[in-house]
Amino acid sequence: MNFDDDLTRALARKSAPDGFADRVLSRIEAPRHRTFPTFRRIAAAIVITAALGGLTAHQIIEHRRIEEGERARRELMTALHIASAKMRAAQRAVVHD
Amino acid sequence: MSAAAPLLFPTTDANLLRAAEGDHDAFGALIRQHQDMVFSIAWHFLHDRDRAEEVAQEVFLQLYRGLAQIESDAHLTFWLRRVTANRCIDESRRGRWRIVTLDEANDVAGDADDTDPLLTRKLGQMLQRLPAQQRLAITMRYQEGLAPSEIGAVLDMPLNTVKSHLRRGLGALREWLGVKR
Repeated sequence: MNFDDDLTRALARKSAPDGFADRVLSRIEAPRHRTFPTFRRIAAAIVITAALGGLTAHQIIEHRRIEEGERARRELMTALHIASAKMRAAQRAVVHD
Repeated sequence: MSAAAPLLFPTTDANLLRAAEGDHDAFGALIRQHQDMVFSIAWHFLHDRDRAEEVAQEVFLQLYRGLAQIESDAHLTFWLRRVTANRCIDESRRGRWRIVTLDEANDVAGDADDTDPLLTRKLGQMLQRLPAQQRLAITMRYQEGLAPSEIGAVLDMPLNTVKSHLRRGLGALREWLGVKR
């Protein structure tokens, strides 16, 4: 008995565990029947929520900006009306004097 | 040294073609044909049944994804040896070692023969003490019966490097086991 023979015997091929091939095949077939993986669903929900949130925030900001612009316009018109009325009153006073 | 273990499934090329076309039964036949080789390389390298099976399963899953690249039975065998070796090294780098009981180690005994179980166990334990490349070279040499040039092709290393790994690895095993040259 020599060392090479001992090694050859010690390193002989072993039998794979029972059911090995079936376990590999089940891992191949599993994704075909699996629906969208949970972590992907969660990631998609986060992305959609963030997008909707961003859109809503943008709409609120835009709405406020338009409202503020409208209010500023109204205030300006009011100020112009007041100034115009005072100008007319002053003009009448000058003409009468 | 002679060629690897005898082929038990002679119709691989036909199975290969069918498997590449999506035939799961044919792929199952390919797995059964090569599972002992792949599992054994992983087992001799890792000496851990669960991790060896995990590595072997990953090898076949990788094969399934790359079936179109495989050209022949000989190419398949070469590819499986190479990918298994690479995955064994990756697995050992992860360092997920665990204690294996003697009963568990014996659980993966070879087919019944006249092997001295004590010597087999001791050689297996000694093999684990060798550096990864030496362990792989010796496994390819003594499990698969490959010549140094073939080992070089599988492990993608120069012939002289293979010879060096074999010489050093075998020298260390002889020394640890108290075997004279």
